Amino acid sequence: MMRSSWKFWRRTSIDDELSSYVDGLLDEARRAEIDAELKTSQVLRQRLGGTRATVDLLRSAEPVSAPRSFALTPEQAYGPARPLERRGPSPMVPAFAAAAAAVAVGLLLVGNLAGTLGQSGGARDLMESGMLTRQENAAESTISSLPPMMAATAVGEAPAEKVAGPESAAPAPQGARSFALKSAAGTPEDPATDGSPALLASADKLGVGETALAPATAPSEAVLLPLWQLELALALVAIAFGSSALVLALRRRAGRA
Amino acid sequence: MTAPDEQQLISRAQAGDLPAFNRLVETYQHQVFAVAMRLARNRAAAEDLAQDAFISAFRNIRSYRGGSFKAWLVRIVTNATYDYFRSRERRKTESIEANVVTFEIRLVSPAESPESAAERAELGSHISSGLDSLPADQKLAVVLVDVQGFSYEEAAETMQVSIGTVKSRVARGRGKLRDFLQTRPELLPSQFRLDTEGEKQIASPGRDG
Repeated sequence: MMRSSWKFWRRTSIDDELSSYVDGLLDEARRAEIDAELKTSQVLRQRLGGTRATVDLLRSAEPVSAPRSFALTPEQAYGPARPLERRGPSPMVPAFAAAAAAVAVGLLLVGNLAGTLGQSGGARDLMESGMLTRQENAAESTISSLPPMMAATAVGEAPAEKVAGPESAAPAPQGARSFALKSAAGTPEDPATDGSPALLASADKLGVGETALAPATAPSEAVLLPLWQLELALALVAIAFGSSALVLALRRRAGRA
Repeated sequence: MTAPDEQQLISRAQAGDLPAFNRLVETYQHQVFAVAMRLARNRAAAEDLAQDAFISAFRNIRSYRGGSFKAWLVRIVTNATYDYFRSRERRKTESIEANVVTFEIRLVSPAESPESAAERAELGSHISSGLDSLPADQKLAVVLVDVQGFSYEEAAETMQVSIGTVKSRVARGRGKLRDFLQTRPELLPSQFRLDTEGEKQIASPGRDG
């Protein structure tokens, strides 16, 4: 009568159990359970016999001896090229390449970021020295981010081709530069301003003049800050990822010797 | 060689003492070569791999951080063997069948008949094919533990995995190899000859439970 129940084997695979049984690695209780099962299950006995015979065959392998001495000569020990390295590119090459690329991207982003901040810092210096109002600075920032034709229109220059549409059809006697000055002077009725007339009027009343309330400044700063923060975050992530990958690759290479 | 002697030799080798390192080579070269040959199954390639592994070991001996020195050396030659297979796969020019070494079963009786010798050789070849059919990690575990006689601890250190993982790989490798060997039942010892009815029953253990 066979007792090979599912409950008996479900704890682990048959091969794991039989392998441990052959190696004498089971605890006494489990060994006794299997011994009891072996008394009734011919299948289990055969399977155990097969496993044991496989192990015996593997252990009966003719021993292999080194055909010669592998002791190193000084030339081998201190020679210029390592034979293992001549067999072709190491499998670690892609890991190193990926890590180096990540670090390079991070450094490029940092460089770009430094340039961006440097430029805005320079503009800030000009503004502080009175050569450029804050509004002019903001307007220039906005213009520089526009496509060439739109930028030309914004500064009052005649575009090469007139673009049809309500904005381009309207006369542009003064460019964005003069618009910025107008805004600063508080001309809320100017339809070109997208700022709040009430806000500008109140600014005038307060005598703030060139204040941060001028409408042209807000959007450009709002755009600049998230951009550099995002760039910095990306750079840090790339450098952190690249450095970790490099360290892991170097450790793996040391392990491989 | 005692453990303190070995440690002293390792320290001297780490300081650049080549004769001290060569004494370690003499101690472990048979095992290193044997693992290379069991995995590569090519005597000439195994010689190159063992030699290169010892050169690499000497040049990187400062990265050895204790533990079994044998396991460290065998790990180097194992990695070198895997690299060798990869590069051979890339080149695809070398004949895989050239200089292939099959598994040799130990001679039991010196008065072996020619028929018996032929059967033994055939069984050895069948075992080699069975080992080659295993996944690389199971093959390495079986070769280290069952063929080369490594302890589970040494095999775990060589493979840089836990002892439980080695046990599992060995068990699965043995099971697959047992099933593979049964494809040529006429070559096998009597313990292997399972009746087909029994096989059906073990395939569905819940049926009689």
